[in-house]
Amino acid sequence: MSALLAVYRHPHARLVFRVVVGAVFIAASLDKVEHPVAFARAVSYYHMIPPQALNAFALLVPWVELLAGVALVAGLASRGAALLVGGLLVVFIVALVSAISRGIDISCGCFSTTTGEGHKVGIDVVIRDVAMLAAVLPVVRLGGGTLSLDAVFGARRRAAAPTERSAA
Amino acid sequence: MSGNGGGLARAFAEGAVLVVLSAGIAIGSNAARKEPVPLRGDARLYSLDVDLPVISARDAAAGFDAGDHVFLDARDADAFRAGHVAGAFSVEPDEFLDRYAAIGSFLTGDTRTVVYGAVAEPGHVEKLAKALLDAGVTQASLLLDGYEGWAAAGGQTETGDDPTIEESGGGESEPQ
Repeated sequence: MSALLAVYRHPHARLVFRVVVGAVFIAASLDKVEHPVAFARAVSYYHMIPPQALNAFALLVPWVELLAGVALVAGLASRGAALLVGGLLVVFIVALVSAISRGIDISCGCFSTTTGEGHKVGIDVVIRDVAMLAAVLPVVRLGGGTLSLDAVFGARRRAAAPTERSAA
Repeated sequence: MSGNGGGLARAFAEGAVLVVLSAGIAIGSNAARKEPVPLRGDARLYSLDVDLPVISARDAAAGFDAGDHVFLDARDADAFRAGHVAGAFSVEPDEFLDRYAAIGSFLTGDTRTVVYGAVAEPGHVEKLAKALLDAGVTQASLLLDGYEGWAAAGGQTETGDDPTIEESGGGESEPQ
């Protein structure tokens, strides 16, 4: 069990987690960024957000998905990006479970806002989101791991720190 | 323990920066659109409150091909005449009870009734859907994105009046 946990938290594993989840979020954001009204309508079918807030939600969330996705892939601000992605995933999971429990038969609006395209709301989408949530947790807690820009900048800062001290 | 707390604080700070950046880009890119999206939602489009499932154009088209879906068009007669789902019945919500006498027999059994309208006038769909439920037709769905969505998805359309209206007005056409 501890060996499994060690693998789960390993820097290489965190690299894989953040690149995969980041790429998924980038892919999921592109159509929504381009078509915010269609995304707003897709979100409206969940009947969870007040109509007055739908457009603002539909304008903001795709950009958060895109920037957080890019940050995750690059390993820049990894913890913050992973926290945002985790928060969004929690919201998505709650919305999906709510829709399933109310028998709302719609496309999930996860990747495509086009009518009739994309995955329908279902337990498989919930499982996918839960898996992604599990993948970003170690990144929130421990950082981006291998090949992250955070590590590069952190190393530079550490290398520069003694020089600055000696210069002072 | 303090290290974890510091890590979480850093995560929140980074997350906040990303959200602010995203909001700035979202507002900027929206302002640069030819037709910027109003920040407040359009309640006309999003305020449907009917306890019926929504069906996508793709799924409705599958039902259309299988011949077990009946389509009710909630728009006015002019819009219907200009183009409608092939074989749909024109049922303006205020005339539902009169029309139900002519088409009610098509809305029973295993048939699924699909209600649609214009995206800009969801009130018509809502009113017709509620009338259907009151009449006991519960095997019904609302078509996602209305007639525009159906046409955009390549669904079969046709033009002209509803023959069942002509029939009830003294014509002899058969319902489609």
